[in-house]
Order: sequence, then structure tokens, then C-alpha cells
Amino acid sequence: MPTDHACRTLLRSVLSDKRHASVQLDNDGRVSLTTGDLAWFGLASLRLGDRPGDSLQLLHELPLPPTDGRLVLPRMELIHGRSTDVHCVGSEEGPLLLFLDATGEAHRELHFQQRGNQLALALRSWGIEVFEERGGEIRGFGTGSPWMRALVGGVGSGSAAAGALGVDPEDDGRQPFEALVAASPFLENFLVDARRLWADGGDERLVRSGEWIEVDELGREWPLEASAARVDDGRHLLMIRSVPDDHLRQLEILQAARSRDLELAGLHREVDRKEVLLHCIVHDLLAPLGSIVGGLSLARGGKLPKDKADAVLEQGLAQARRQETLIRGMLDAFSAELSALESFETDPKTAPRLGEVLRAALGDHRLAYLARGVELTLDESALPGLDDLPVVADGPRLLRVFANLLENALRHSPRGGHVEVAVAPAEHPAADCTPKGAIAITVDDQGPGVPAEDLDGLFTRFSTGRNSGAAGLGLHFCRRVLETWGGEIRYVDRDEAGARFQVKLVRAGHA
Amino acid sequence: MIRKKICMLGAFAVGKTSLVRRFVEDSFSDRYVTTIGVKVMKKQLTHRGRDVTLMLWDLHGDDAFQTVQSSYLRGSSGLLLVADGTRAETVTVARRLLALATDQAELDVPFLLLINKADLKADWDLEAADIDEQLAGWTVLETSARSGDGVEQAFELLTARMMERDAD
Repeated sequence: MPTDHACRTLLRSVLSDKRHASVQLDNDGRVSLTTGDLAWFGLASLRLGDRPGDSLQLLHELPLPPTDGRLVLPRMELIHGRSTDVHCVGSEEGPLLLFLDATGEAHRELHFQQRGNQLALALRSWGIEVFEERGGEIRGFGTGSPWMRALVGGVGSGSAAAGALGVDPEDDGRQPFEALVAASPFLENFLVDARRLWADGGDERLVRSGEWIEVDELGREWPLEASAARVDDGRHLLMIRSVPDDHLRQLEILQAARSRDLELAGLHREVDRKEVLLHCIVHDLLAPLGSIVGGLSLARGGKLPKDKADAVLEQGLAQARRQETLIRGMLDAFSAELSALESFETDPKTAPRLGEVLRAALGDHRLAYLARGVELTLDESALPGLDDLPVVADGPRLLRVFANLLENALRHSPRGGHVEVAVAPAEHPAADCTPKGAIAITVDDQGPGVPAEDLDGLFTRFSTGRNSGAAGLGLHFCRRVLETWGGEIRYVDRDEAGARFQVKLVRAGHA
Repeated sequence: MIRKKICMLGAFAVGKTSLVRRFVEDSFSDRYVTTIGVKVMKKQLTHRGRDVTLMLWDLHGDDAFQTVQSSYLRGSSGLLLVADGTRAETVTVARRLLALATDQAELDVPFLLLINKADLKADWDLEAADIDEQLAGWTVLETSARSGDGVEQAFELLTARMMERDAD
């Protein structure tokens, strides 16, 4: 039997470690404390020491005083240096445990009901209901916790077991447990695990339901947790407790942790977007240079007639000015660029015209193609009226998509080769694309084509198999923006030598 | 009255609770509140003239903090696996949870994969090709709990499949 000092030390230790203790009184009023795994009682996760009165979580196998008797536990420093007297008194309602603060005011009461030599504890003030299984039938000793009353109405503790305990039954003909199970599919499901445990006889002593939430008729939510236990003395107990504090605390912690996870994922996406944006900027700065270099290369030899040389220089100058404008625009609109990636036109009145964008892309690259001796043609015979054909896209981004494909084709074309851009409606046999209403634009070159081993990652970021010398972002950019618009890009194997990239766009206003 | 238990399974914050709320209450909230534990909601509908009560088990998200108990899945007639189109890794979680259902809970029931947050499609990092490749043979639907697009259709399709399974 530990001394008072040992009891205090142990309790202090238990409370500071947030562990659990069982308390036993002998008939002389002496107390013994033991720590241990009280999980079988379903209380393992109740937190200690956070609120006044949350000190002794469980009194087990308590020899109770007679009705007029009283057992007084030694004064103990239970919570944050606060001394508390614990009295166990007999009463007409059954044994009562009182926690008294220094002023003598009771700030917590616990009622107990005894069944023969065995004690079943109904910790009403903590919202715990205790049920016992016997002969396949489950009966409650419940005293009617707030959650129990809310969920099963006015059902009281009117069970045979309660009657045997000498508790005044409020029998209204219904068994509280049956009513609860009928109202709770979750509990009904958990009973399968509970009955398995009780019937098993193995080493397992406890099974927990995990937390679940019931909603009463007023829409109030009751977080609950059930534990089924096989107790040493052979009893089969089922305890259900309300866990509002646990629920809130878990919610607070998990909410914070998961919100941070989501924020982190959002930041990763933001970085991805900025990488694409960086590529856009590099491309915008690089594209005019191709024409400028091409024009200067043609003009350098002095062999061009003056009028042609003037035209070449004029185009080069125009490209240089375009580049300057782009740089200024980027500086102004850097932040708006991100949202521009996500915005596009779907209204047929304002959507970009496919013909205009295609011709602009071809015009921008004509000089570079000329300088490399590669022919560049547009076949629009399968879809006349391109200049008045609105497509779901953002004009400048669509121009960049075509520019990427034309630069790609030029880079891989042999001198004297031919790059053909062709446009066809989806239903055209040459298009080989779905659905109806879509438009297919193909870019064919006479280069070596894409090796089979590079096909898998062709449209992923930093794919440089075919794009040696390029950043490997161009086709990734194309795929990203096209999919944003409901279109797509793919590589098509064809019988002839060379690569074919096919872009699919949706007609604006097409249902 | 026919009762069918459907479990909502998926990673955290994919929108399981929002999908149930949209289907049962036709409401949506932008505020993310993580689910602790399990909440069961009911919805009655009619399938080919027969009244069916769906018991919708909204299970907490599965991650390092909370893992789904296979016992929750017991007695399920169908599963709705939910992923978030803006987080490709949530498809992997859905696949893992299906394995839990089939291997540990020994379920052989109809299921659908819902790729939720279709309203944020511009932010999706799921590729159609990836879905086709990874989930061959699965029925994959796009849903938006926010707009309601695809939600009712998903529950109705699963109900139809559960009823078909009963008829077999």
C-alpha cells in the first residue's frame, strides 16, 4: 500500500505525463493508485489536467461506502498546483464521488451504480454510457447522457439491469440501446466487431470504433466513440462516450496540418506556372531574333537587289521593335501574365480567328525559313474561310503554339526541305481526329522524326530528346495551353519520313 | 425499401463531404473543414420504380494522420473513390483504398472513381492519358461539388450498378 506521499507523487507523474491511473480504496479508506493500460475502459484518449476536475478519470472496483458513509481520500495536488479533496460518499442515488476545491465547493460529481460485487460506472458527467452484453442481449446501465437523450429521445435507464441496481427506472417500454442502434448504422456496424471480440476468447481485450458523428433531430452533431471490452471477470462491456473536446482538438490540429499541406501543394503549382511563364518570356525574346538574324544574314553579302535588301532590313527592324515592345510589355504585365495563361476566348465574336493567327505565325518565320533554305507552305484547301473561323483560344498564346511548332520543324528540317502546315475539319479523312466540330492543324516536316524512345515524355517539361539545344519547354507549353482551351496536341506516326504534330482546336461557339 | 451502403473513400480535401452534401442537401461551402471520423447520411431515390435508400458513409480522408479502418467498409454495396483533379497524387490514394476494400475488407462491389473539382480544370495536373493508362477498366467521372456538375449522375450510376449486381 503506497503512502500518501507516494500517491501524490504518482498522481503528479500521471498527470504530467498525460497518462492514466486507476484508484482503489480499501474498506479502511486507504487509497492505492496504479497506473497501467486502462484502454479497456475506453478512456485512454481522455486528456488529463487541462480542466479543473479532469483529474481522476476512472475509479475501478471501488468498494463503496454505505448510504451514510463517507471515504475521504488524502488531499492531493491534482491540477496545476491546485489542491483538491476527493470524497466518496454514499447517497440514496448511489455512491457519489465529489471533487472539492480549496473552498470546499464541489466542482465535479460522479455517480456510480453497483451491480452485486461488480461495479459498472456510468460517468454521466463525462457523457459515458456503459452497456453489458449477456447471453447475446445488450442492456444499458445508462443514466441518460445528454447525447443519449438527444439521439434516442426520452428513453431513460429503464432496463432490467438498471432495475436490479435499485435505480428508479423510467421504463417507457423501449430499451435505450436498441433505440440507439436503430438510429445509428455506424454503431450497428461496430457491434459486429464487438460481438466478434466477446465471442473470440483470444488475447485481444479491446476493440475501438474510432470516432463517428451522429446528428440529432435538431441538427446538432455529437462526436462519439465506442469501445468494446472483455473484462477480467468475464463481463462483456460496451462503452460509448461523447468526445466533443477530443473532436475539437483533433479538428484543430488536423485542420492546420492539412491546410498547410494544401498550401504547400499550391506553392508547387505556382512554381510550375512560373516555369512555364519563364519559357514564354524567353520565347518571346528569342522569336524576333530569328527573323532579325535571318534578315541580316541575307543582307550581309550585299548580293540582294536594293529593294529586296531594304525590305529584308525593314522586316528585321520591325522585329527588333516588336521585341522592344514585348520587353516593355512584359515588365508592365509580369504579374498579369499568370492569369492570362488561364484566360481565353470562347465567344465567337471575340475569339481569335484561326487564319489570322496562322498567317501571322507563318509570316513571322518566313525569313528564318528562307535563310535556312526550307520551304514553308500552308494548305487550307480542306477548310476554306480560315480567316473568319473563330477558335477557343487566347490569340497571343495560340500564336506562340504555332511558333513553337514551326521553330521545332525548322530546327529538324534538312536544307532544301519542306514544312507543310495543313488545316482540316475533324471529320475530314486527313484529320483523323475527334470530336466533330474540332479543327485539326498539322505541321509536317522532313526531318528524322521523333525516335520511339523519346515519344513517352515528348510533351513533358524539360523533354529534350528531339529538342537538343532547346529548353524542352516548348511542347510542354503547347500541351498545357491547348488542354486549357479544350484542345490537344499529339505526335502522329506517319508512313513518310519526318515528324507530324497535330493540334486540335475547338470552334468557338460550337456546342 | 431497399437499403444500400455506399462508402466515400479518398485522400483528404478531395471533396468527399462536399459531394455528399451536394447530393443530399444540394448545398456547397468553399470553406474547407476536414472530416474527423465517420458521418453517415441518407438519401432516398427511385431507381426504375423502386425506392432505394442510400446510406452514404462519409469517411475521413486517408493520410499519415488518419487511416481508414477496413471494418468501416463492411456491408458496403458500392464505393465512390474520390480524387482531386488538381492533385494527381490523390489518384494513387484512391487506388490504395480500393486495394484496402478488395484485399482486407474482401469487397467485390461496383465502384466509380470521381475526379472532383472539375470547376478548377485549368489547374488540373491529371492527364487524360495518365488516367486511361493507370485506371484501365475503371469508370472515371468528372464531378464538381461546387457547381454540382456530374454529382447526381455519379450517385445514380453507382446505384444502377449496385441494383444490376443484385439482379445478377
